[in-house]
Amino acid sequence: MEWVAKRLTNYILAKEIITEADRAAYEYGFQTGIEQTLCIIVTLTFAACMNRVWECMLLLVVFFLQRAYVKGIHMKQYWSCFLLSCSVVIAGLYGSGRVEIPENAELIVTLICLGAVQIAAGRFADDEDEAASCFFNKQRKRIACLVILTAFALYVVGWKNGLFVVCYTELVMFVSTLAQLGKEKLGNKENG
Amino acid sequence: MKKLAAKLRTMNVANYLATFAVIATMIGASSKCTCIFHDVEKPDLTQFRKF
Repeated sequence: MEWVAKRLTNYILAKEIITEADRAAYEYGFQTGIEQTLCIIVTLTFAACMNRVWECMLLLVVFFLQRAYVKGIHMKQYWSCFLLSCSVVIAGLYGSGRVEIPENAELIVTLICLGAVQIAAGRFADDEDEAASCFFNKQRKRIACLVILTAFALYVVGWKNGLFVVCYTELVMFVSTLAQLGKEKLGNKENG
Repeated sequence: MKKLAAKLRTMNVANYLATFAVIATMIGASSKCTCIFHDVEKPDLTQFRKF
């Protein structure tokens, strides 16, 4: 992906649309943009085959929104991330409509995981400046409120698959956040 | 093929590509990480922030 991003940046640089000073920002934009788009296209294709497009969209929105403001576990290589991302989304879609969990339990698990993720996210080593840190904290709280409202709305409306998808996403977020926290703690121990 | 090349030239593909990159950069600049389980090394994106 890095190679594609570099080639595309060279192309728009040659067309004199950007200057050399902007190269790094545009390379970053191309790389993340292509990676995200590819992941969305592949998961939506699988979702269409499984007849779970709406569930997939809900899962991706909740997942991407939360991942943007909560630090979680990361892979070193793009392809391992891509495979893991797609597998996690597809597993969630496969489970919706097949796994039978009472709606009350799904709502409670969602709320517990969401709360735990909020607490864990506050414990991460902060490598951002003050303005960014403040913005991320605000956004994280806003998105948590949005997820709670969505979960309650799905519960009231009675869309079981949707509620399962939100519950599953929160569970994955919880595991990912805990894994990252453990990784940071282990790294700190090794460093002294 | 020639027709396609001519059409691409008039469409100004480079501008569309640059717009796509700017949108992705702005999203990345205003968030901790953009991909689900993968983090691309971030350059200084202060000028692209929305806050």
